[in-house]
Amino acid sequence: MLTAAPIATRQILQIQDLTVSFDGFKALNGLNFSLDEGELRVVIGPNGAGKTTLLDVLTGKVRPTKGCVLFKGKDLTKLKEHQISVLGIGRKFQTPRIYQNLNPRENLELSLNPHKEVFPTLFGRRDLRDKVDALLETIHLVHKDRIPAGLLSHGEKQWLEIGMVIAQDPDLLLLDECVAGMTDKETEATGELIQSLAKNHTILVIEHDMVFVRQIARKVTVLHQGALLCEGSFEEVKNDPRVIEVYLGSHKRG
Amino acid sequence: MKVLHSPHTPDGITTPAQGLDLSPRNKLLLEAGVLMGVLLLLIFVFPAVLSGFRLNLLGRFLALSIVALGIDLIWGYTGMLSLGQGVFFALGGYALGMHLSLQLPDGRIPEFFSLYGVTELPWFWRPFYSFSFTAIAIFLIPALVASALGYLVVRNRIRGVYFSILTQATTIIFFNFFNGQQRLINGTNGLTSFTTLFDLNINSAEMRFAIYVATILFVALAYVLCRYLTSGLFGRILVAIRDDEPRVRFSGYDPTGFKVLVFAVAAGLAGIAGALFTLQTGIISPNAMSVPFSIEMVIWVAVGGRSSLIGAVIGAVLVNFAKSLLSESFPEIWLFFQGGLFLLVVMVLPDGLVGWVRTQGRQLWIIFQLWRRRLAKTSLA
Amino acid sequence: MTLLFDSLFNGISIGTVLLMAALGLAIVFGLMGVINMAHGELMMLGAYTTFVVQNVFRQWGDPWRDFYIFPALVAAFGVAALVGLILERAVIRFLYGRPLETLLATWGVSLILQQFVRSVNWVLALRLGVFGLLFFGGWWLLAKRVDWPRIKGWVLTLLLVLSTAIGTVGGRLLAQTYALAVTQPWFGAQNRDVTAPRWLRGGIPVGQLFLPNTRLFIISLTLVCILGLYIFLQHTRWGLRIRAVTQNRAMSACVGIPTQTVDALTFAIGSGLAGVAGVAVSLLGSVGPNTGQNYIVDTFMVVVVGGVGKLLGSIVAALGIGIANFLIGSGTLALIFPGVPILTDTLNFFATTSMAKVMVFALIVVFLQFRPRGLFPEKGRTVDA
Repeated sequence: MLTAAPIATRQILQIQDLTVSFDGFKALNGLNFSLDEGELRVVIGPNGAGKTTLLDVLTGKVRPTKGCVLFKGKDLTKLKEHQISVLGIGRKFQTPRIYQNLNPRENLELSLNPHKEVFPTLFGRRDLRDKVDALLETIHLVHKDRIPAGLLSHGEKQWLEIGMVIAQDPDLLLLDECVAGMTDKETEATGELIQSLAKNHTILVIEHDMVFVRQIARKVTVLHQGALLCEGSFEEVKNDPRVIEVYLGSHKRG
Repeated sequence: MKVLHSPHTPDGITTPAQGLDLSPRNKLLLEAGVLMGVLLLLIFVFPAVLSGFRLNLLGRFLALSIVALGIDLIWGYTGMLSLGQGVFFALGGYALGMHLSLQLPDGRIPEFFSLYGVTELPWFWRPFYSFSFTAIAIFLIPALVASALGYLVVRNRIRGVYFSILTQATTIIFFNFFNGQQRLINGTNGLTSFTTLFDLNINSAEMRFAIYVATILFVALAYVLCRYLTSGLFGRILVAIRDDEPRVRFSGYDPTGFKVLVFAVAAGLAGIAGALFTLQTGIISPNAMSVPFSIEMVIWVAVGGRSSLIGAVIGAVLVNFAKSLLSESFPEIWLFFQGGLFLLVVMVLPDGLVGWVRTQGRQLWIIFQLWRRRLAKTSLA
Repeated sequence: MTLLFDSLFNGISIGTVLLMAALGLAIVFGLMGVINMAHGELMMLGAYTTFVVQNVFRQWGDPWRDFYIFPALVAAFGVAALVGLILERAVIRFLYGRPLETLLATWGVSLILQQFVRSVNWVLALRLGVFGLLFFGGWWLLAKRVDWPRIKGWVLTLLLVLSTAIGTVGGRLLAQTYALAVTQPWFGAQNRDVTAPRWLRGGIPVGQLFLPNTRLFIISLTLVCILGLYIFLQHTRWGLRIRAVTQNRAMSACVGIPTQTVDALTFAIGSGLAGVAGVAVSLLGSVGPNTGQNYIVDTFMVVVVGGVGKLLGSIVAALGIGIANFLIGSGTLALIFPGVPILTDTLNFFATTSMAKVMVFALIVVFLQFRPRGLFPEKGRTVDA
């Protein structure tokens, strides 16, 4: 991969001096952060470090108080959620958010639809069947493609949502604790899926599960109190005294 | 966070096969066949069986079922509970009412104007001389009003209960407005004493039957329209908006356009219903915009079963027949009954009659299958 | 200057009635996300309670009849709170997380309550009493049996039929024996009048203004209610619990707050406040089965404009809507801009009580374009998850 991507150093995402404050509480505090194109980055940090708020800003759910976010050279802070999504950022939520009364097939079709305005959706002709079948294969839901998604198990819902995000064909995938509640086997399979996705997507993963982080991580970013604490390989980060202090240290005590 | 709303998807969308394994195409053909059958039944058999009075009632209630279809579209499928459909219903009714009131020799203006000393026809009445203008206005005016209101409310992400009480307030506002403007549209009294349409007496038996048939055709058209909107990808997005609107944004769709469009369609349907109803009752007054009437419309859909279009039609007809029976004989009991109906439907039958039949039907089917299998086993042995 | 004070006073007195009606609605909405469509009918019950208490005190003669208003306040609060409590326990708690269905169910309740006050007489009261006693008594007795879950469905159906039948037959018998004395409705469909006590009639002249005593009384009553509610919410144990559940229901349940009790209590208090508002309404005009309906939409608008979670929002919104209604409705606004003919004409067009509402609603829709979540929205990550 390193050899195959000579221009991989182009930055797809740049965040400068990002601050989000809720009634005085600073969920993000002057964060600087950037992602290279094609990178797989894991963000960790203790509770309240601002990980999910970071994703909220990236997807337009929260407007920053200060700072700027450039994605493919465009400022995201002025855009609405659906505009950002069309621009190429897909997000998988912490707790699976799928459409419970639609079946997996319909869930995927909804994400796959290339024209998302009202009238093209209503009148447009499209044949998504093959793509849907292929995706169902990828997320191992072929045999359950016609039952309401609300009836799937927790792990299956997580997979379905990952499938929905892939279906949007985003340039940047945001995965928020996507292995929470999965069995070890499922977790491992998810890790493999993410590895294979990383070949042609830029991926930002937020994770608590250290075994999983070790499995997939190339570069790890640690957030603490809304700001960047340190960055590096998993081993570097693991041995950084500041990280042990704020993060692993607190685990030892607890 | 969101409770699973019903164990099955809205009708038409890949319900698990209940034994009959039909391809989507055959399913559609079956549905069209049933629809045609019902149409023929309504047009040819019912007039022969029912008394003139009951047939007239049926015609009115079928007109009302068009509103119910619209409500089902926005509430059952999209999750927008409008308590203001009466406004759009009345706007359609007034549009036709104005045209009917203008069936006069040249130069004369409707009689009520003289009561208030108005001698010249107000400007906005003039276009209603033309039937083609009226025909378009019947659905376009309500749809435009709904689009404007819907856009202003929906684009600010005002939804759920807020949307409901804002639409309810709209009802009061329009009621006040129409009620207060005697000099423009005859205020409280509304428009009445219509005589002709296309120079034909609207009270003749033939004309009445023609109106009845027209009503049925419009119900069928409205059904087909709603069916088209709710099946396919568009319909699934509506359901997705109902179940988790914020999530839809992250899937790349802007819910505003979808919601405004279905709200406008529902309003247009309400307008058509209002016009057909006015034609059959011979009066349109601000009472059609009263708050209770608009909420009553919702209960028709709830009784029949929301997220099932057939349910909306059945509910509208059934509840209104019950109302006419009960309020004929015990006017006092009707309000108790109606209140009880609201409670009953919401608490015991959240998916209405059709939903109940569906779940019960499925259970019965399973029992039947088990019984057949056991029968097969014993015969083998 | 006089004009300004006059409109301000009138606007505030309209606003205070709205505010009292909206207070209960707002705290319940903030806590449970539920809009109670029967809130207006709870006001109506408060107003009818005032009517009954007034009649009782009138019989007792002179020193008493002037002070019926204070016991009436207590009684109205009690009656409305009780009905609200029953409503919450019997209906609303089963509809948790389904706010739209709650809207419809409470509308059903409001229809029933309206018809109830129209047709209630001794026969109906007796039938209801007998029914309640037999049905719930039977339920209570039989629920102790071991095999209750198994027989529940059948027993309840049987009890329902039996107690309805016994109630109906009993009612028939009563109606035949005593005839008109028991079949005559207590209130009927007609409006009833509550006469303000003598010390509330008249008013206080201030300069060129005349401030009616009833209005002053209602304003002070509202002040007392707000103060009471504020102290209750901020300085009592249950108030703290209510605020906690309003902010985060799941967390509150985890730290051991009985959220069900909190819901019931809040709903009862909110309903009680509606009852007190009913007393105020009864002083302003006659009392009828539709009394509640006249106020309900305006109070909903107060909640929409005020936003949830802050008392101040409701206060500002209610006074704002009240003043706007008066300014437009009385044509005062047209007097303020005499120079511009088009503006004056437009304003005159809206210068009636009902047309003013049209204008105020338009203004509210405009307001929502800038503050869609009301005056004081909540912030944070939990909103709109």
